[in-house]
Amino acid sequence: MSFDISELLTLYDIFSFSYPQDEEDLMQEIIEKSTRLFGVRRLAFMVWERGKRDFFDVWGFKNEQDFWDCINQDNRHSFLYPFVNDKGLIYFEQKKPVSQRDRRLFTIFARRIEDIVERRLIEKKVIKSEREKAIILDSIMEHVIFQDTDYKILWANRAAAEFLDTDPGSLVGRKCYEVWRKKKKPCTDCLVEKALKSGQVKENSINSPDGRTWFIRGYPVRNERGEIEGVVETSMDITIRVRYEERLKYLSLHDQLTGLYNRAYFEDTIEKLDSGREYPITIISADLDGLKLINDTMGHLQGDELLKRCSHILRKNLRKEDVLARVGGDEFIAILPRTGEKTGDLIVKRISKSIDEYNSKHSELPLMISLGRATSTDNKQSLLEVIKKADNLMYREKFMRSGSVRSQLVNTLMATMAKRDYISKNQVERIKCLCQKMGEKLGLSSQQLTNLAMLAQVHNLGKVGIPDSILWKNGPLTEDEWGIIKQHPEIGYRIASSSPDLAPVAPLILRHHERWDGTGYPLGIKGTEIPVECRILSLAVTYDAITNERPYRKAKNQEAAVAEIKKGKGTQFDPQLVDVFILILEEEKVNCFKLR
Amino acid sequence: MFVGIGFSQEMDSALAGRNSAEQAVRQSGEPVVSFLFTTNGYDQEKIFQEVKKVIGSSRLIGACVPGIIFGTEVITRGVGVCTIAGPEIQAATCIHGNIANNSYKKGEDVGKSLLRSGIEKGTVFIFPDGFAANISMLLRGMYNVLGPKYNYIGGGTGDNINSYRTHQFTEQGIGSDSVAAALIKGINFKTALGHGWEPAGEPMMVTRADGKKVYELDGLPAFERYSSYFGGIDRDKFTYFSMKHPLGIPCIDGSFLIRDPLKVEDDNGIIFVTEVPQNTVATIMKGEFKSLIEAAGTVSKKAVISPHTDKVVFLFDCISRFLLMGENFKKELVEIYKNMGNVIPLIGVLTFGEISSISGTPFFYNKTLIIAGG
Repeated sequence: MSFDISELLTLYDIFSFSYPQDEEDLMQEIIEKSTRLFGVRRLAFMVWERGKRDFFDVWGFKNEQDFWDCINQDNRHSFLYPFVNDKGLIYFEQKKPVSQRDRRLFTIFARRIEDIVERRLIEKKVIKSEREKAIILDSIMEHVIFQDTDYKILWANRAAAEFLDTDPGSLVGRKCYEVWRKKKKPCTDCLVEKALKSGQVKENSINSPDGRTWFIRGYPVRNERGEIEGVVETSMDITIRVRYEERLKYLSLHDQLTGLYNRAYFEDTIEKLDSGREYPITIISADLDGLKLINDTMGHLQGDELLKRCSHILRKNLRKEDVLARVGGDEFIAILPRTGEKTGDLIVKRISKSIDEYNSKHSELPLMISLGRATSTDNKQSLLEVIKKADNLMYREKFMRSGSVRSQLVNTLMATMAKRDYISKNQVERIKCLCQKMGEKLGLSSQQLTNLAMLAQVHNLGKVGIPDSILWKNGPLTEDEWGIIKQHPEIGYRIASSSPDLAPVAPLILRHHERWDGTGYPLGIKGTEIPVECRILSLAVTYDAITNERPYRKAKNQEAAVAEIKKGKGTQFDPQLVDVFILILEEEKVNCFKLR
Repeated sequence: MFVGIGFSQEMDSALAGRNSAEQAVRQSGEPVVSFLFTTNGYDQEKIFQEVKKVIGSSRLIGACVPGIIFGTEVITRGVGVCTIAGPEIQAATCIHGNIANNSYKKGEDVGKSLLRSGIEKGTVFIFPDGFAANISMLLRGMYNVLGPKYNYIGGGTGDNINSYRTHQFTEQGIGSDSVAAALIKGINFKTALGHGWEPAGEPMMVTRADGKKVYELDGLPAFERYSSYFGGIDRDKFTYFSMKHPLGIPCIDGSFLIRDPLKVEDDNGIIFVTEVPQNTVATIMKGEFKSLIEAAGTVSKKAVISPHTDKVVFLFDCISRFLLMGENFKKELVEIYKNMGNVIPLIGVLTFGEISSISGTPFFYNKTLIIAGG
């Protein structure tokens, strides 16, 4: 073989370097080629990355220092090649002195190694970058896929793969629409297609067949020539967010308790209708009477129940296109587009009929709804004025039936009290009768007499606020429990004060447990500071309690009762009233006892 | 330095061992280091024990080989012993097993074992299991520890082509799938190497290889590409062609490292006797008996300094040459021996691959002969 062909074969061999996976393998290949082709006896290979030693290995040296000692000597047998930009070096040492031919071939060999190192460094950077990209993109919940112009998936993040119960690698090469939609061609209105065609970012929300809502974004990717070579598609499952938004939107426009529209929606509707073509428009104003009294005495749950029943009756008597809103605590307004006076009246009658039907079945807690109707035939009159008119009519009705309302409410209240306090209707009537006799005997005014009768009925109203565990405790009460019991005049006072129907007797309820000598509660007033109605009630209640059987003791006769009352004369009771009371008992005893 | 060579073809293992050792020791005196070569057909343990009794505290290195070369004869059943004595002789030996596993590290272990002797220069004799994988890596690992100050010679060992049970010896014991190594100081060996093979075709690229298997040449299935050189050959004729046409891999100074094809696999990959590096240039080689024999003579001339000064010659000749040349192999031995003036004691073995560091570092050759005279 000629010298030239030998060199050619060496060059072939040098250039047929494989591309090892790591520097250790590269080192072994360098050893194999350099020893075989050049007779290299010792070598060193070093790679620096960003000023740090990335790889270093020596072969045939005792240790690293042995190498550094060698490199600093003038050695005719060695060849040192530093890589450009201080990225490393390769050192060869052979048995014979390095010839020109050896130097030429070593240089080519070293440059080949340098190329591989450079490529390795770039590849490492790419791998690092890819890893970082993967970590970032895999850590987000959004599905991210990169597809080419033929919808073929080139890359997918973990979230996208996990959604399909697979790994990202298995998605690569498959078509987007095949994978997600099991289709053979792109979906209608495909965002990726739009992004590809327009070159613009496209985004939209779509619903998938499984009922989920997705926010999709197609982001076109261009190559260095500006040509679109693919689209990054991001998909986020916004099902829960959309539901929350819908819920929030619902809540912002609806009353949570009744499910009817709220004031905001009502005002918005009025504004729209005001300038619209829905005339004639009828407004029905409805007000639930006595709600506060129910809330205060029977609790808010009962009041809420009443509101729901009210809204139900109103809603079921309106048409689908009518708008019914709860605009205040106990106020409702129905907007009836394209509804004239005649139809409006028919609907009001229908509502009234429903209320009556309901009340006939629910006498224990009847619904009392005042209604007012007004109609606008055109937009000459603002709807706000029409609403005001409807309100006025409603208030008129409320005023006209206020007496019966009060009566019904008090009856309801007393029924509730009776359930809690074991106070029979007859018992109340007896006390009321005794009070009435006393009042008349003492020449009280008609207003005082009315109040006295009411007081006899509702003086223990505050007990609705006392827990049953205390009210019906089997055994002596503790000091704290007594403290709670003694709060009932004040509770009763607050309830009665908040109700127009009971407000006149509120001060009397507050004072009905005061004593003549000032040892009563809650105010500790004495003598004539105590209203006469309260002093009378005190006598009547005491007498009735002694002469009537209670769960914890038997009834005593009138003489025993009188004796007991006389004991309290001047301490518990007004001494003058005691005398009058005994006189009345002697004169009128038959009438009131008939009620027993 | 005093050298003794003993040989016995006694059928009894113990007797063969004892006779050969006694012959050698009678010539050399009490040896510092002894070489033991055996062939198939013996109880290796008995031979080993008998030889040890005779050589006493001498270091021992050797192996079971397919043939022992004694003068110009190849003996396929016998025991050969070479003993070396003299105050200037120092020797250290070691044996390491399981060399196919992590060969480079095992090679480093061998180097460390020998270094512990404190012998700073000399010749390293290496007898690995010739069928083990990655002997090249083993040699590289060993060299990495020992470095360029030593001369390296040896050969792959194995009893014969058909049996894969190998035996390697040191005075420490007998190993299999092992490497036996000895570091000897005090003999100035001159080594020469040659094969007589010449490139026959244009270069090819080993585009895919793993260990001893070459999958692709020039990107084609290896057998397909190899066969195309001959205009297409049948699989069953492969051995006929491969014996005469090994692969040559370019080496320093225009020489070639020979790789001996062994068999074709179903996937048209070719298994070689020794591993072939991937991504190297290779060419199909050719050789005539004449060129092979001439090469042997040249090697012998180079290795022998002087028939008057050399005390012993070691010959490691590839079994593949023996099998290929048949009766002509004796001519190769005659060609070798005539350069020694017929006076220098020669002991040689047939090997499964030959080891020499003549190019600078130890390499594993095929179809080659290596002579070391000193």
